[in-house]
Amino acid sequence: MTLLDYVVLLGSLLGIALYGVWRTRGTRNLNTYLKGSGNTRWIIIGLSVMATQASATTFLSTPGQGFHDGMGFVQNYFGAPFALIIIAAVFLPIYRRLKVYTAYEFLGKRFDAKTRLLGAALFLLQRGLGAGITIYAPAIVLSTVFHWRLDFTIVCTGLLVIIYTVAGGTEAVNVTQKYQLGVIFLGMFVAFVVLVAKLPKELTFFDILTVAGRSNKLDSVDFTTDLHQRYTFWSGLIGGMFLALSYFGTDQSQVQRYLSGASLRESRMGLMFNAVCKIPMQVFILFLGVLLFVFYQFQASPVYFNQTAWLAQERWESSSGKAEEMRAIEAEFAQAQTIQQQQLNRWVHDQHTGTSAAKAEAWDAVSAAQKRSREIRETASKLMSAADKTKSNDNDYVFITFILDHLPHGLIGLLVAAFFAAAMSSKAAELNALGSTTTVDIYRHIIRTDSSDAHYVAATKCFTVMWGLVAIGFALFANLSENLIQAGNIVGSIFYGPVLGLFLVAFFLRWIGGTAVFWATLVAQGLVLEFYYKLTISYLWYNIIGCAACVLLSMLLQSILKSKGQPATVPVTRSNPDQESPTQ
Amino acid sequence: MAMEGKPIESIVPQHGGSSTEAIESQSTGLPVLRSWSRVYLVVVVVFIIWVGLLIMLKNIFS
Repeated sequence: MTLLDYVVLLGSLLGIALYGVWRTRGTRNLNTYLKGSGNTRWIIIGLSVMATQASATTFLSTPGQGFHDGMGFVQNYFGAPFALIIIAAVFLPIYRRLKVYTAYEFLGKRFDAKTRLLGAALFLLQRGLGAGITIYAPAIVLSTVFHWRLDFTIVCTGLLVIIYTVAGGTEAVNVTQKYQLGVIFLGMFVAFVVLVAKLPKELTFFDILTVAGRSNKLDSVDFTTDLHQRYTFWSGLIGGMFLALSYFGTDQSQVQRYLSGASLRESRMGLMFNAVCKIPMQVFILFLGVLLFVFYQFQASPVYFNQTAWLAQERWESSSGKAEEMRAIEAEFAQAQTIQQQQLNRWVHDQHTGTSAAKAEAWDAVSAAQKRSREIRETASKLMSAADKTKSNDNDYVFITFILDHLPHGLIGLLVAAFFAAAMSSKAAELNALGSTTTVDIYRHIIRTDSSDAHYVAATKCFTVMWGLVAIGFALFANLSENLIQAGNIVGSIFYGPVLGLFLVAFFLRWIGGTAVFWATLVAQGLVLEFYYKLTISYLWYNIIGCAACVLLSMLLQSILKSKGQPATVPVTRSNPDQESPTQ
Repeated sequence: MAMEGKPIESIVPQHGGSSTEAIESQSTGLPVLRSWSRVYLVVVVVFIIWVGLLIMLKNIFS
């Protein structure tokens, strides 16, 4: 990166953060600090919900997934529109009517204190771990590529987010996310344009899609019912719907975004904006990865995209025979790529002038050359996964390699700013939610029940800083074994199922009380953890297993308790602080 | 910890209850899609169109 790139990078990131601090300075009221100014329009809510979900890994890793596996990952989001409809129609009106600050406050009103605490604790545990991943993911990739110190990158990003989130609360998160998303989409659009411009001139758009399609990169909908297949239409639609229902409906980092709407209409419209835009957005990012695949069919690419790790390994093995083996792999890959490019050029020529038989024959030759390149790349990956201490996935380095090698200076800074902006926007929402939940559901609920607004705002700021430091600490010691975006989803899927079950019981099964659902949630969580270590099914199914276990066990336990004469609910008590209006 | 909890009906409205109906009947403020059920229908139709397009893309170019 040059000075120009650093000016663009630091200028955009610091500019947005400082603007957020300035715009929201002097917030003393708890309601404003936790729910924003109360006049947030639907487009801001929609963008805020989108920016919270789309972390840096969405933009850094997903093109790499498109490059390697094609567009099948989009199925993961097939359930999202349906989940958002359910939330807009059922969850949201109740949250707004009760004027709750957090989703777990609703559990307290519907069930009892222990169930509210359980919901809050599961969120804090799951989101606390997730916050570490959010900050670690871009830092590991960017520090590797740019040779920055990993700990320095993590600490700087984390502290910047903490400063503006603490300063302005929910309003600061909403205000900054709008501009951060602007930087992200500008960066992605610029990358798309440059990528298309750099493809061979004789290649038509039809040819590009044909190369991608015949290389199985456009296989985006798979109707098979194999439970071990990670992404299918059914796992995406059903499992994905449960995951989205849990994430958007019960995760405070999202609930807090749409509760800040000026009215029910604004909040609903914000959710519907996401229901319509989520799938096209993922299609666009994955398609960018598919275009990268086509681009690297005609251009030389490294056998292993994480070149820093590859070269370090080569140096490390210089005394043993393995370094020779690595150099031989590189040479073999370069030769295979040359043959592949020759065959592709022949196919392009035949595509425009040749007969059908010539076209088919030319593609067979391309296919064979691609197979050879893929085999060599797999050999390199196996070699590196056995040696690489960070166990990073090479998918995460595909897009950043293209950016560094093919984008002009200035735009490199913009794209890196886009990755950091994405990390900061989701991290800020998470910290905001973690601080709010700790204050509202634990501190104000149990420790200090009758203090002033200013005191609770100060407490929320302290807890936000605390969670920010926890996330930084977790990120500093993290060692991830999966593709970064999948790691986040897997952690989510382990916890989300039982939590969703808890909320579904609260909304739809009125005869079930707090004690039954409390124990059912705990047992369901234990079951999911047990299954996670014993089964090899797609992680999306854990959302359904956890949810179903929680609902069924709640029904069973309530039946037993009912037969023993225990009521589902207890009467309202005037001394209970939770019965007061949370807006006071 | 104080025990808490309201009668369930006061927290979660009954099916078809007046509260839910009132919320649902609120105008969306959109020119054509005046009711929320129409907005939800559009979301589902957009989803079906996207899945159809993706299947078509695969079938045409594979």
